[in-house]
Amino acid sequence: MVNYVNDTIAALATPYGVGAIAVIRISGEDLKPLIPQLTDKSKLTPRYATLVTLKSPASGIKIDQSIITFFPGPDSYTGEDLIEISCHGGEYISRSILSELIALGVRSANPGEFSYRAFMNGKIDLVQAEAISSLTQARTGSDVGANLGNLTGKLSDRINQLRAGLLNILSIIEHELDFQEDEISFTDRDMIMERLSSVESSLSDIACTAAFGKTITNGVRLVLLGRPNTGKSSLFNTILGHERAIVSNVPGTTRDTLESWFDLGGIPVCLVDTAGYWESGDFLENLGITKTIMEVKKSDFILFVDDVDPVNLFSKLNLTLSHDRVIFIKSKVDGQTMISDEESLFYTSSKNDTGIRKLITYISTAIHDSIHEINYGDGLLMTQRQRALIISSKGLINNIISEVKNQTEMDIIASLLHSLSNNLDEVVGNITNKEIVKNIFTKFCVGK
Amino acid sequence: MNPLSKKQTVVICGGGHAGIEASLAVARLGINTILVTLDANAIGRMSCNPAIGGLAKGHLVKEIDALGGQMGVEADKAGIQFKMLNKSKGRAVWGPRAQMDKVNYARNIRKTILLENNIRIVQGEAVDIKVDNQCVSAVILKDGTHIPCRAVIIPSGTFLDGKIHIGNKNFPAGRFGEKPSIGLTQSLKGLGFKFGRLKTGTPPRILSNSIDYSLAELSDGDKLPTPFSTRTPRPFKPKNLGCHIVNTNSDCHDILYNSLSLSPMYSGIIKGVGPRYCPSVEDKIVRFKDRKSHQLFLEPEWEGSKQIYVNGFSTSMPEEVQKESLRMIPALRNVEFIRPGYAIEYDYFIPSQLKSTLESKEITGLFLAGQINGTSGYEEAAAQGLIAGINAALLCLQKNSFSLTRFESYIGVLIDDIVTKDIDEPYRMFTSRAEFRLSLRPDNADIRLTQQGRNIGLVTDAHFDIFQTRLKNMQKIEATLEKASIDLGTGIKKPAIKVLKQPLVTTSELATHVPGLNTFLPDDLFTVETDIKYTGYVDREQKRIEQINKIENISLPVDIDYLLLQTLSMEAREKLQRIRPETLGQASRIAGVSPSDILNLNIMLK
Repeated sequence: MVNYVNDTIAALATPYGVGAIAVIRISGEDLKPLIPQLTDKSKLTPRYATLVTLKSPASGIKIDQSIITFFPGPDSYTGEDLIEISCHGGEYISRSILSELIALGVRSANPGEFSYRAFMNGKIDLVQAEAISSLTQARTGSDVGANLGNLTGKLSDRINQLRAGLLNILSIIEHELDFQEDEISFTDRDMIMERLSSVESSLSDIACTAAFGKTITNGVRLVLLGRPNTGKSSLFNTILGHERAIVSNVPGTTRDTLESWFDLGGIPVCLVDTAGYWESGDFLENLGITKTIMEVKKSDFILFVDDVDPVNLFSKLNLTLSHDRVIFIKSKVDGQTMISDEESLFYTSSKNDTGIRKLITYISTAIHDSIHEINYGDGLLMTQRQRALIISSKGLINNIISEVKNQTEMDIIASLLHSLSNNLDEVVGNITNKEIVKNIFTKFCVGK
Repeated sequence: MNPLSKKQTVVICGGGHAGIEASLAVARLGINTILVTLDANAIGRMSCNPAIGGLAKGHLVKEIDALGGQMGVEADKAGIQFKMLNKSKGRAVWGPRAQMDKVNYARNIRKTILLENNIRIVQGEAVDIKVDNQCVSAVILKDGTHIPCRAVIIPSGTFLDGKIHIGNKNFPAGRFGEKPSIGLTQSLKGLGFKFGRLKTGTPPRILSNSIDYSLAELSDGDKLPTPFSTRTPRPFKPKNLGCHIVNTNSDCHDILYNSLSLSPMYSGIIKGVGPRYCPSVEDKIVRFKDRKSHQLFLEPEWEGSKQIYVNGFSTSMPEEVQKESLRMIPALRNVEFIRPGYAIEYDYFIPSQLKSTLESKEITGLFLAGQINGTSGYEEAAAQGLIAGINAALLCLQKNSFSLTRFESYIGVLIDDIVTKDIDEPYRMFTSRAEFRLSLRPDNADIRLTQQGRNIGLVTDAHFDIFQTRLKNMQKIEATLEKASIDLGTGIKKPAIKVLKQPLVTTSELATHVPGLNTFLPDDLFTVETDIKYTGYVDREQKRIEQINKIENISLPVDIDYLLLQTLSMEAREKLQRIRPETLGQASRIAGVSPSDILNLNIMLK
């Protein structure tokens, strides 16, 4: 999408293919003249779903019986006149309607163009636009919930509140810089410090949501690691067998890995079996392979499997991994019942299906503990762009606090606070940079 | 000189601070200059406080000087006390200020003007501006004199339809004891300029020998005074005369408070809006009710003056109320007036009708500068006079116009603000108006602007030599510091640059450790030292400027009908249609135009 013009656009808003109904969206400055041309009605009551007969404007031939709703601008999704036609499904009907529209001079919409117009007409801000984009790709309930929260402006509200607090401090500082000591009375640094700390803590709260936001968008990676023939693949299948809600079975990008997604309490989890890396060669030797290291680095948790002594073996490997990211599994304990004396060591038997439930519960708790689970309806940082801005803002506020402590002069503090305020402004899209905006909307699909 | 050759003549209708800079700039760029003034003896007269500079205003003086303007040079010559204000708050907001000998200041300025070959002074009242095909063609004086010209600059101060208020008395005047100017404002209104009324005030002048100085606190200037101009010879050893400080008290406030109905501001006689920033004393006691006392500075208006300016007591109360109230202050219990404080109400023309060159958007060759644009203060006026003068001359020379951005100067901030924002009170310069304050310091004004002044042709050879010597010396200082490493009593040697970055460490402390450092000028040391201290922070500002610059200079076609652009908000459409900004950058600073409006415009322009 390069240029923005306000000509009339149309697109199929539902996926192509067979379905009970299909929805076509039309947006433009003035759509009223379209109504009598396309339907058997001369006008439509705004925002009422009306049953009409659709006809070809040229030949008068009937196309379909459809429900059509007219949203006059500016009270519509795009801020312009908007029409939604719910026609019967199937490619033929929707394609006929679209080609009749094109014959009338309507242009096929580009991906994201409806939302782009909504943004340009001030109907949504950038965070809301991003939420819409993500909603259409959501994998789990939490994902939908969080994006809905952002769509209704929850994140924008939080950021704007934070910004208001910041501007308040700035106005005090600016005021004091503008007058001589004898003209006004001054606030002391302690008071400014107190207010800065409160900004810092709100910013931390928002930054904390980043981990959760990232997790529910990108998911958690669990990587099975261990020597050959210690039962990793069996464990892979057994875990997935327990979690019926398998989302997809994706063959690895190389023939060496197998990935499978499942929903664990609202969090999308990707289980990765690395068996292929080393089943044929020496385990220890293969561990040095970059590919393996990459997989380990990418992981959020490692399931370290061994049928003799996983803890001991792991310690010999000298992997620089934090221990709370490793879960040890002694596999193939068929026939015996053993109680683990270590919190993160589990005894499992894929053959008898023992220990698996306990393991999954543990994994689930570990994941939830690691992501600062919060009420996702309150607005979360969901995109890389938002996260990057908030992380830099957090760095900046800590910087400002230490500068204030070091007695740095207020002109410098004010300048840093202005930078921070700009950063926050950018999160909610109060920016004039065309490139950033274009980039966001190109991720949309047609009809959004 | 051939004074009546229209092609190369610029007429300046006023000899105040804006008119002086404008006249000198035009003349020095080789154009015939005619300075029309109601009273040739009033050229350079300071109507209000006997001081130049101050917070943010000092920045303006330094910038005027850096571009080759006159104010700083004159202030250094006529100054009787120099003081750096705001020293506790960071170098970017320091405000150089100096008390003036008003008589010397005006006398020196008149001499400077008389010595300038290209300036002819004409005593009279300009009453009409002749315009042909939307171009200025002549200025008409009251006596019928017709002065053909290519451009006219109007720096008329408070004179346009001026009216003085003292209590419920009021009378037409341009300044105390001087007639207002009526014809000119009617001429401008006739040309279609939109206007408004503003109000400003001045405090009483009191007799020195009626003050009991034993009950007042003495306040003198800096031991190591900093001059405004880089052209002022060093070492700088100006006079350092004291002024005195007294404090108002609740008795004093009560008298004012009980007489509020007699103040034209409060009884609604004055329609013009007064400044929030240097408010009248009656404004202060109402607005800051909880303050029991305000400081008043008793400033001599010239050396040995019997006339004392009561800084901080600007008022339009009846004379008796002013006197009675001041007599509640012990040091002033027997105070006698030379003349009372008063308020003056005058016409200003909505400055968004001007380009950033201060030329009218509609009429070629018509420039407005100073209080006529709704600003307040000598320094703000002088800055505009300089820019208007430069551009009037460039117009005659058929060269490209010159304007400064807000990213490089306070002058740029000032002009950009007034041409894009609605003025609802007299506009005073503040450091908070400059977004990139750390880069725009008083000490580096020449580094930012002198090359530009040179390119225009306003910076003389002698001035430019001084500048280049300074640049060289700054480089030498940097080289010296880069090589040095020192131990400030911690037992460990550290690179001098790193040591200098610590708060409170200055080059003068390093001088004993770094050989050769004390041979340099304090000004040069100070700028290098500040550059080092501010590096990282200034870099951050520069990055923000780069971001903004992506849209800043995209020019907007002059014929856009904004009302037809339906993707813009209604408010934005109306504002843009009315103000007609020259660039997208200007548009982005108009209140009511949102970032998404700018994004829309930007995309439409492609």
